[in-house]
Amino acid sequence: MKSHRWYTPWLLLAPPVIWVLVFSLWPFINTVVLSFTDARPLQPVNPVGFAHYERLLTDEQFRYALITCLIYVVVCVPLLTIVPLLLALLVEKNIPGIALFRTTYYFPVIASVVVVALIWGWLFDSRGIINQALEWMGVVDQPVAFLVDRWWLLATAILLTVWKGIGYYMVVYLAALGNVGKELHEAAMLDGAGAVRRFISVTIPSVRGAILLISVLVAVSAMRVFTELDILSNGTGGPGGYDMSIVMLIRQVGSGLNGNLGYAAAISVALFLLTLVPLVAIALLNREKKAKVPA
Amino acid sequence: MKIRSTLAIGVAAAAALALTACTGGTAGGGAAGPVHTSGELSGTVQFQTWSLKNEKFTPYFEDLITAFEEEHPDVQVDWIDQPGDGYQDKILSQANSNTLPDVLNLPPDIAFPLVTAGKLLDLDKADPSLADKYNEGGWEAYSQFSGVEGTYGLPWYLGSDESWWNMQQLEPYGVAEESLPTTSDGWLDLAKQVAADSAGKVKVVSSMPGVDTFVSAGIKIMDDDSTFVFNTPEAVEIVQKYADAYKAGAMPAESLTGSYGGNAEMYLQGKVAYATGGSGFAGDLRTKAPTLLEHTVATPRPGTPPLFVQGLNVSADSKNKAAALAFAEFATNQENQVAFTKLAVGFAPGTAEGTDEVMDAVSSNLDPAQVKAMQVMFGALKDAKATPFQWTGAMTDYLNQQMALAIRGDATAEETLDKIVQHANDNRIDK
Amino acid sequence: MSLKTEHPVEEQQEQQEQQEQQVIRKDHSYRRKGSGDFSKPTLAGLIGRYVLLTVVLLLVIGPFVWQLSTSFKGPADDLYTFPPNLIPTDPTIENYIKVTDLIPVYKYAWHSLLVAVGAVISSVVLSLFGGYALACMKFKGKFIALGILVSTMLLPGEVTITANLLTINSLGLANTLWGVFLPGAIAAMNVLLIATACRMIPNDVLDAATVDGATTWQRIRHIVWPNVRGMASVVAIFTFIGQWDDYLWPLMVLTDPNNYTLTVGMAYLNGNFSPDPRMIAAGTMVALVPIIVLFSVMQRFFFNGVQEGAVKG
Repeated sequence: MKSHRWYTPWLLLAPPVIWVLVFSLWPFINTVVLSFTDARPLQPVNPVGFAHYERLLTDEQFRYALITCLIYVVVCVPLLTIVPLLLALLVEKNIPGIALFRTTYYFPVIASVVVVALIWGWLFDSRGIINQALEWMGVVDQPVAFLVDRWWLLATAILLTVWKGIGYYMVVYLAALGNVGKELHEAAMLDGAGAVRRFISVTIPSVRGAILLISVLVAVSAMRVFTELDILSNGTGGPGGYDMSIVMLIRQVGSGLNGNLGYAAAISVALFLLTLVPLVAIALLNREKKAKVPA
Repeated sequence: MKIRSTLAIGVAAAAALALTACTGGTAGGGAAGPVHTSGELSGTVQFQTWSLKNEKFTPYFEDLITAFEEEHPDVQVDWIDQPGDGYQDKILSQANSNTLPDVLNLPPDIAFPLVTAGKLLDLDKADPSLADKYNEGGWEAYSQFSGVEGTYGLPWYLGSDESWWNMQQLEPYGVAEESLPTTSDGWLDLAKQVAADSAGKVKVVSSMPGVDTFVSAGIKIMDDDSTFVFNTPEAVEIVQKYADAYKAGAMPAESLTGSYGGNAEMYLQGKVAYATGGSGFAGDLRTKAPTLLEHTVATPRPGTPPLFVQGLNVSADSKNKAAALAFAEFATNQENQVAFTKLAVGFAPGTAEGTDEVMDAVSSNLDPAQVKAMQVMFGALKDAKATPFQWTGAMTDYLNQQMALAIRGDATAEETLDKIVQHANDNRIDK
Repeated sequence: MSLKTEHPVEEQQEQQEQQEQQVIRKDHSYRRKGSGDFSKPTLAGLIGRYVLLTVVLLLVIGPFVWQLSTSFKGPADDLYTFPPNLIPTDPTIENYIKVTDLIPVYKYAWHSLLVAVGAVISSVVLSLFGGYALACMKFKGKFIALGILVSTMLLPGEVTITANLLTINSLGLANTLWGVFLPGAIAAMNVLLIATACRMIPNDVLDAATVDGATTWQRIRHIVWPNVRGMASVVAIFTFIGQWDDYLWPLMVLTDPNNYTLTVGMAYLNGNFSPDPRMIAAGTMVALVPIIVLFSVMQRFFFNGVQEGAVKG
């Protein structure tokens, strides 16, 4: 049954499709083209072939940025996959006052990065409340240089990312948990399964999709980390620039009036390819699962 | 997911579209030729300053604009102020989209790429009589761009640095005002000694060495064809001394983030007993830490003092060049510059004359510490040298990152300097 | 897999708990007890749950509360003592007034609000149309449209911003709130979210409407909209938060401080003046409180929308 004119769906879809083409796809294609040139702002442009990509392989700064991002991924993925799930289980039940807790846990997500950065920069200052607390408790006698040591800085930034991200992923889990039938739990209890057992054998399998989705989302956004490290390190990327993330490097290389746009574009393309890795991984995992079902 | 919150490569990739949008004009100079400002002027002039809209300067600029508009009733001046951060990106996006204001404030290093792209007006050609009216060093700073003829900015205000000492912290360790070191070596030795005596409580080094450090030590920064060559044994020695001072506890960990303002901020908080800053720093001390001001002594910076130049530039694409140039000249004439630097305490006017006038006017209503600081700085301006304009912000970023390693002892001074120089030469902007 | 190994200790505790429950609720059948355990935990369990909830709560809002307290501190309050004074000893609202002398905070907040509300309206309406077309209509080229929309979710947003700036400039929208609003007027993600919700509407219902001669517009208005309102509120809240908090884009578009939005104004405040932390704290609170209030009011719709299957794994 034909229920609409042939052009109706296209009319309805025109705004989003046009927006995506103009504000997303077209700039990306441009970036790819740019990565094969020696472009600098306001200067004439010449093609350079794969020179920028060859430079990537030997660039020490890129290597450190890659290491920083990989550490970010490796630490954030388990933390932001597991902690929000536990938190979601904690707030899932409709006990009195639960709305208050759920809502509050989401506050860090809705707060502006600018605001959060102002607050955290102050908390972790050498005279900030964290250092004062540590000194008061006698844990340290000199302020800890949270923001100028390679590993402390990374740890502080990761903590900020986790703090700001937990609420978001908690909500995703809440959505997924809403679909888990009570029958499964009850059946498991009939079998005498305890809470931990039920968590492993009922909850985890039933939110398996959400777990996979979240770990990919976390991995991709951890690869693209920028704001936390940039603000906490005062834009320097820490001593030696060891704490620079890939996006920070793109910015350092490509911004300003003398920016090396071609090389910055090449790093962007590399970053894009790196973020594809987790996406491909999940696609493969899903296919594997489907293949097993009939068997 | 924070896809939306990703701060971006910024203006960088803009060039993607700019490739087609902006051909960059003719390399080597903008629109040339005389511009006559004597006729009847009309139209709108956009005037852009950099981080100057605040309780201190807003009234000055409003009066300045009113005065100009009274002289030229048909001209309207629109004043725009840009935030301190991200100014280069802002300028670039304006240049890319052909929306540069008619008159704008650019230091020489930011002006250079715009000059090579033909975005700025050659002021010497526009009005050859201008050169004599301005401070020679300042005029030079806008005239020496490699591969380009002409002058692309009117010197507006000039500044330099001096040394600030917290005697209250230093006196217990046998440091007297008369015996304050006058050389970099003496200062670094003192830092180590005080750090040792005070068990690291009194810190006398507040920032990492930068290119200005090497300039002031008289080390050659570039050779004749603009290749960076400052990785000399003398420079290695200086860096090594900083590293030793850090090890001795003479330098707070915060100084390794390499932010310029941090050094003064730490001094205000009493974290360090030494800082470098313009003579206006005395004013900051008076409002933010009055008790500290009593115990503070200002001395000339060891070696060659640094020179900071700010200027007003005129866009080559301005649709109203005559009025724009007239306003730029008006804002930078001696009378208005003197009035400005009276407010911007610690800076000198960029005109040929007028420094004494500022000194006389200011000294009557300032406290003695500030007057002394101004004398020190104005005295230093004669010998002051600017960091070469070829040295970019990105190079400074890299220098700070690598230097932090050398200071912490994670890398040797020699390999650090070699890396910095190598990086700078790989990223030269004037080739 | 290690996850599947036995956990004897925990299981023992589990069993003990269950035995306790059996003692307490003797009148229930085994099965009722089981389900009772699932939705109504024991008193001890309940207390433990609240303790945990409160600990997390403190970790989450601690930094905000500290900032709030700072914003009410007068000049006589020492900011650097420990243990800190959470309750100001010299309380004042002076900071909230003084901050407006530096920047017009409330005007900036109004600009942010205009942009955010505009984006919410356009996102909800346009996503509804697009989502409906994707989910419920059959047409040639559907996969092309879907592919274009999905592809943006893979592309790094980092590279698009400046190209977008040039687009906005060439449209003559530089330095206007329209320029801030436009690129965010609709996002592919939102279309896909609404499409997910549309797919849940039974086909029979839509078909029945078609038989009754309902136009596309009537179907959207009377059948689709009531069914996807939950999801629409999720889209609305995400959009509002995204726009209200956005920093880099308005920073690039807006040249004149008269037109700033709140986040840009805050950064301007932080960079251009160096007032004391109390005033910065007051500024951050102005930026923070409206969005927290809004979210708290809307939270019911938000969490309901989410649980309707907003984000399916």
